[in-house]
Amino acid sequence: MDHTPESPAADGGHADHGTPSVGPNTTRLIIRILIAVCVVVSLADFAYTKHGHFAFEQLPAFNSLYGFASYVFLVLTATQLRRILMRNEAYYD
Amino acid sequence: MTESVMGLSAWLPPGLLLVLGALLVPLLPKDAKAPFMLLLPLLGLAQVWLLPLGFTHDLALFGDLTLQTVRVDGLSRIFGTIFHIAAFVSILYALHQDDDLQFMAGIAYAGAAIAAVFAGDLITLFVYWELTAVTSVFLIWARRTEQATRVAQRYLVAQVLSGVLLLAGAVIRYQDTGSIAFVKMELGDLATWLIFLGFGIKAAFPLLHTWMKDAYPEATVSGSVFLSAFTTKLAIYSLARGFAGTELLIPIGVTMTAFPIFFAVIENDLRRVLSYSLNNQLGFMVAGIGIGTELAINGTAAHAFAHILYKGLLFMSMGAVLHKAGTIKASELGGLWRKMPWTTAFCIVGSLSISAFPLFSGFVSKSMILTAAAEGHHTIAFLVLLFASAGVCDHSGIKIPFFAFFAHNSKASELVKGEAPRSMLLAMGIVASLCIGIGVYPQPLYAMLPYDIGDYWPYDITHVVTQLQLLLFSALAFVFLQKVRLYPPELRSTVLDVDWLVRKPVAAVARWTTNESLVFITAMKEQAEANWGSLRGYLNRVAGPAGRWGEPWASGTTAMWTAIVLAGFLVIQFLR
Repeated sequence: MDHTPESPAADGGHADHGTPSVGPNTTRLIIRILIAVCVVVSLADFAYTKHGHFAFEQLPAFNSLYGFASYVFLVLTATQLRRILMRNEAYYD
Repeated sequence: MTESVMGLSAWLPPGLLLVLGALLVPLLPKDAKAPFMLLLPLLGLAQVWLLPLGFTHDLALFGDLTLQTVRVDGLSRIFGTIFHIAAFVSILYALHQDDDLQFMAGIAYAGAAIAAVFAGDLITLFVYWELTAVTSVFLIWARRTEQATRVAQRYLVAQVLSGVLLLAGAVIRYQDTGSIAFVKMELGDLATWLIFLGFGIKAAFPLLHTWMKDAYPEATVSGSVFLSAFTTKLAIYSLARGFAGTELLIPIGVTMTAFPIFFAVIENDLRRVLSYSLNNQLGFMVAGIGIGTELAINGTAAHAFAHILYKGLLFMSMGAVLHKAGTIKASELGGLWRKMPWTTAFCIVGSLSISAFPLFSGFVSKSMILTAAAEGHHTIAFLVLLFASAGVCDHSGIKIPFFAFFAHNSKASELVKGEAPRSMLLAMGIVASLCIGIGVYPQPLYAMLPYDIGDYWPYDITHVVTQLQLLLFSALAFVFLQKVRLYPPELRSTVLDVDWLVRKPVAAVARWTTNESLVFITAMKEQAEANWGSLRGYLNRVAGPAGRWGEPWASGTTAMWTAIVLAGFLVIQFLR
C-alpha cells in the first residue's frame, strides 16, 4: 500500500489556491437569493393540487427534503469512500 | 427526389458517405477541408430525411443469407438524426487543430455509428459495430502519449470483445432460428445472452463500465467530444431495438444511475467526472428501455437526443479549458470565468440541461422516463432515479462549472490568455442554443420520437415545482456542505474503480505467468539447441563433406543408377 488515508496525495494534494474568484458580497447575495427561492418553491406546494403516482409524493415539500438529504448522503458517503479508494496520482504508472 | 435518394441509398446506406468522405480528407487542399468536412454530415442528414419511413434495402449475399443494409423507421431515424448533428458540431469544434488523423477517425467513426443504427440485421450491425471500435481508437492514440497508447489498447480490447460477443450471438441465433434479422428478442437462450452482453459492454453496464472512464478522459480535446456522442448511444439504440421491456434492464439501469456518481464526487480529472456522469445518464436510458412502455421508449430516445447535445457541450467546455489551461484537474483550476466568459456561460447551459432544469433540454426528456417509472409503479426505481437526479445536480450541475470557472483563483486562471478558439466557441454556441431550444420548444423533438406522444406535456405545475424543489435544495445542500467545510476538497489523486482488479491482481498474475512461461520456453529452447547441436554433428559426420554420403561419386556410377531408374519406369509403363 503506497499511501495512508490521511495523506492520500503524496505529491502535495490540494493545490495552493488564491483568493475567492467571486467577491464575498456577490456570494452572499447569491446564497440569499437561493434560500429565498427554496422557501418559495417549497411553500408553493400548498398553493396547487399536487398529482402524483405515489402517496409519499403528496407530502408537502417532499422533493425539497429528498433532494437535500440525497445530496448530503451522496457527498458524505463519497468522501468516506476516499479512505478506501483514493491513491497517489501516479498509482497506476 | 425521394426516389433517387432511395436508389442512392441502395448502394450507399446512410453513414457511408461520411466513412468514404473521411478517406478523402488528407487529399484535399487545406482551404477546402473545413467546408468539405462540414458538408458531409449535412448531406447525410438530408439523405436520412429524404428516405421514407419503412424504407428498407436487402442485399442477397450467398445461399439464403440476405443482409438488410438499410432500415428506416422512427427509432433508427431519431438516432441517425442526432448522430449527424453530433458529427457536424464535433467537426466544427475540432477545426482549431490541423490533425488529419483526428478528422478522419472522427468522421469515419460517426459514419460507422450512423450506418449501424440503420442496419436491419445482426451481421451488418456487427460490421459497423466493429468499425466504430477501430476508427474511434485513433481518437485516443492521436493524443500521442505513452499513457494514451496503453489506454487505447485497453479500450480496443473491450470494444472488440463486445463485437465478438455480438457476432457469436448472431451466428448461434442464425443456427437456431435461421434468421439474422435485428428485431426484438427475448432474453433466454445462449444467443440472446451473448448479444445482450455485447450490447452491455458498449452501454457500460455496471462492472463492464470501466473502459469508458478509463478511455474518454485520455482522448484528445476534440476526440472526447466525438467519443461522448456515438459508441454508448449506439448501444442504447441497440438495447431499445432488441430488448425493450426486458425487466432485468430496470435494476441494471437504476444501478448505473446511482453507482458512478459516488466516483464523480471524488474524482479530480473533470473529463473523468464527465465520463462517470455519462455513465449515470446512460442509466436513465437503460432503465427506460427496461420499463419498455411507449412512453418509456420515447423517453429513452428523447433523452439520448438531448443527452448527446448537453454531454457534448460539457465535454466541449472542459476540452476548451484543457486546451487553454493545459490541465483539466479540478485541484489546479478555478477562477477561469473572467478569462473565458463565453465558455463559462456555455458550460452552465450544459450543466442546467443535464440537471434537467425546467426550460432546458434534460427536463423535457428525463421527465418522460421518470413519469413512465411512476406510471408502472416501480417505486424503488423511481426513488433511486430521483436520488440520482440530485446526484447529477452535484457533479455535472455544480462541481464541473464551480471548480473549473469559479471557486478560488488558480495559477491556471493567471496563465490563461483568453477565450477558446472561435471554432470551439461557435460549436458550443450552436449546441447551447439547441439545449435551450429543445427545453423551451420540445415539440419538434417530440414529433421525431418513435411512438406517438399523445397528450404528454412536461410543463405541468406539479412537475415543474417538484423538479425545482429537488434541484434548488441540492444546490442549497452544496452551499451548506461548503459552509460547514464538509464538502470534499479537490485532491490530486487516483480513485480506484473495479478495473483495479484487472490492472493490479490480474495483471500481476499475468506478468508472473508470462515470466514463468519465458523461463520455461528459454529452458526448452536451450534443450532444443543442445539436441539440434548433436543431430547436426551426426548429419555432418554422415552427410557432410567428409561423410560417407558426401563422397563424390564417379560419373559412371551415376550414369548406371540413372539408367536403372529409367529402365524401372519403362517396365512399369509396359506393365500398365
